[in-house]
Amino acid sequence: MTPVGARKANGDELRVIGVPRRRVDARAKVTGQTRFADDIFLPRMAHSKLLRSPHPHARIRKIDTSRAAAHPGVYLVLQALCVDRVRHVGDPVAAVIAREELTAFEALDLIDVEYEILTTISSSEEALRTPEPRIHEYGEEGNIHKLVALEFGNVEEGFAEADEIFEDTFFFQGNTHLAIEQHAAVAIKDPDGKLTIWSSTQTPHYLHRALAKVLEMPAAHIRVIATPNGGGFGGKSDPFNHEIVVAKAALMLDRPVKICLTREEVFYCHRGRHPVLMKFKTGVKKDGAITGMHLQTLIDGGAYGSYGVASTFYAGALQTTTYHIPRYRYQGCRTFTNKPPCGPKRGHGTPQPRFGQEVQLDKIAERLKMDPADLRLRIAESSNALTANFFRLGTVNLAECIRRVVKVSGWKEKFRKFPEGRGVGLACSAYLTGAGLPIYWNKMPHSGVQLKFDRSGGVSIFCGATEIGQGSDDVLAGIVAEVLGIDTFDVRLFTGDTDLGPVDLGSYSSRVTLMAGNAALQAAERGRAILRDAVAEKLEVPKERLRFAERRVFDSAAPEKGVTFQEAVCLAEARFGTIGTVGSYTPPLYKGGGVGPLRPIPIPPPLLKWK
Amino acid sequence: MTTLPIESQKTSQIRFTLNGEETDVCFAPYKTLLEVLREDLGHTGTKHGCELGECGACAVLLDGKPVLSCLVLAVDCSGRQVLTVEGLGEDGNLHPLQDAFADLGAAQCGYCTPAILVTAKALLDQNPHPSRDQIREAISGNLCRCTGYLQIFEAVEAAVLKIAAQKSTVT
Amino acid sequence: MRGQVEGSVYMGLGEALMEEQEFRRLPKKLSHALVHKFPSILEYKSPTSLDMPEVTTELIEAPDPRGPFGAKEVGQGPLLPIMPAVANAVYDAVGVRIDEIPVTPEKIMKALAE
Repeated sequence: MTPVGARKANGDELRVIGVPRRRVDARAKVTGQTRFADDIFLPRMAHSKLLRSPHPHARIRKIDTSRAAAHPGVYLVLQALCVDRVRHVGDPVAAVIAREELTAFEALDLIDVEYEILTTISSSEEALRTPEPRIHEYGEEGNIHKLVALEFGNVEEGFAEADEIFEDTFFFQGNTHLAIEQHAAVAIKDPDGKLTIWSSTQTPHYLHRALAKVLEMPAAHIRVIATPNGGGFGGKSDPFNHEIVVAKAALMLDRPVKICLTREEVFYCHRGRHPVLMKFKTGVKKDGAITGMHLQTLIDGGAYGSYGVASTFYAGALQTTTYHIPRYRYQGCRTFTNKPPCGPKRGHGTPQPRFGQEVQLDKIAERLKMDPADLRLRIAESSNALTANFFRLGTVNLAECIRRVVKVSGWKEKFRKFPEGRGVGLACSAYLTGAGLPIYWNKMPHSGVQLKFDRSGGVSIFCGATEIGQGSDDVLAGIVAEVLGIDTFDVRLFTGDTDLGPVDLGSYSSRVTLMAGNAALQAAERGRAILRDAVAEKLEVPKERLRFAERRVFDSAAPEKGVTFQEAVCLAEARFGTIGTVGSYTPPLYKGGGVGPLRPIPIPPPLLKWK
Repeated sequence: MTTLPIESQKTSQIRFTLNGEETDVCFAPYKTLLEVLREDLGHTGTKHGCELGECGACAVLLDGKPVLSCLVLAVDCSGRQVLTVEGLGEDGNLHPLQDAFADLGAAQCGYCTPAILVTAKALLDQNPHPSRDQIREAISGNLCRCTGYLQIFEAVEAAVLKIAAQKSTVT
Repeated sequence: MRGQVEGSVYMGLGEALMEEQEFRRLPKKLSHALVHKFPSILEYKSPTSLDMPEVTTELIEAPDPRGPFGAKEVGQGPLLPIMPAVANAVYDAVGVRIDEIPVTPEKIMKALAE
């Protein structure tokens, strides 16, 4: 592994960022003290279990919960989770809340449900063939949830220019996150009558909004605390029925209510990788240059939308980010089927077409008698390029990545040279840092951070960002400590709590380091400016000369002249009053339109005939 | 007065040694060691991912050997020694395995970590200088979805060196 | 960062070689329901410590001026090329193209037989 070289910020050597050290949450994790949602035990706590549909598609004719409600130890039975219809095996129908988890589980058997079985749609192909019955009343038509059709440049012209045309069909089977922690949530009615819920969610802000809507209560009276997630990978991004159930039950019973899903339930909650059938048509010149690409996807979305609209766009978004593709057409189609809903999993929508694209490229290299690494090097896209579909690439170093992998792996000595049964393979990818738009469109920041500077010299960070194992707490602490010249141990974190911290949209889309990180950077720099003014006045040193390092604020021209960080906070507090700063981050809007033709095209192709 | 359902009745009682301390506990007879540790004794450091003996997240040491606590009935633990992650450290210090896991990125989400730590301890107690293959084998029943395992192997190897160094300074 | 890269390699290998969210119909005389084929960790195959190969991680730094201290995404991108790299390696090794993920031994044997 390459050692991270010494880097500089504002002329100073970095002391925290890029320097190997223990994560701020490491000690809690190796001592078992990290409190995950199911580790919360409260006095008088009741337990909840959900009755889930045994049918993939059925109308609910009648539910009788009287026997369950009369069962000893049962406090409450909630129904109408799925109001009139179940759409996949595992879709929740009713909930039992009882003194013991086992009692709740037993009482599920005492709920009588009468179903009217409806036609089951088990695949995307079937969904296209079977417009009725519709699994949902919304969507494009029949059982098509979302169609995307975009063309950037004239792809047919590109094919006409090509020396060779490659047409390949691929299938990517769905798979799931398998985070080891099962989803869990605990809700209480606060002593003052408001609601608090702890949940293993990656997106406390979206859960906050969903709870307010479903419970029909002001969001201001709901507090969502995202507990550290025992693995997320996208699977804990949707607001879930079980979260609504414990919240509702806690309000009704005025006692804490917990739920922890079984592993089998987690498999049926899913929201994982979509099965995708895809077809690539790519035109290339003899030298490997791509003249145009047409991608079609048929995406099996399962029974609900989840973030499926985004998934459908994502599946066609990133093809142009690695190699120069001057003309590009994408047609995506997400269908509803009677299976657990698919959703965001690490790479959200993009690994499937990336698989097809990179395997096809391998075939292209073979036909053109080129080394696959050389081909990729020849067509690699570079920094700051504007892609056909109007992505302005940021910093891209794909060519150097390929060269390094070729060198370190000994590619040239191995490719097509191993004996039968051994082989090497090469593939590339790129990914975006953060999504430009929130799930509900608005002009507010995507992430906010508040800092509180204490007279003790301690700094508290308040932010909605959610620790799912990726180290977001450590990123925030590291950035703040770096800017203020203190140690991460001097920092306290209050994260993932909608009452304590400003909104962060959640741990998805690789957005937290960029967005919460920039918000933390801004808040810390604002705090540093306040402290610097106070210290400059006290020391009678020009403020530009002051440096923050080693828990001190000192004159860079005469390092012995300075004050401790704690003294700096006290000086600032005496001078300006209580010290607190905020920072926020809103993604920039890139204006790239008008460069080329962009016209939506209908989805006609007989996708069914692919296989 | 309503009669409590059977699962609410703490009719079983055992005395066993938990992390070196004699411990008495009453619980409903059907409960597993995992449930009694977490629910009746507040030792939530031991986690669960399936409660079917498949993921390895609930591993504890029973008389020094790793077991899946979700498959052990608590009533079978009378008079026995149980070690959980809460009992790994000594004299207020982290165990060398814990230090190494914290320093070398072997814990990301930290959910599988307690079980892997105690499983690794059992390995080192029995074999103070395991090869990487022996480490792989020892923790093959503990799933981790975050790290890709390599930093876990390295942390165990680092702990081996640290424990050996500590022993040589003592003798 | 290395942990994110190696974790991505691990998860990508799982997707490439074994992980499947598949469904089957129960027999008609039961409910004929469409149920998960592998709703347990035992049956849903994922790589264990025995399956994880050694990985050499090379970090090529291109600090992004828009990221805090140049930082940018590392948690998702490294997963993406693993599946096609495996499929391409299989072709290099045995000369058959597997156009489906996961690339299972059964599919390779079937392709070799054809």
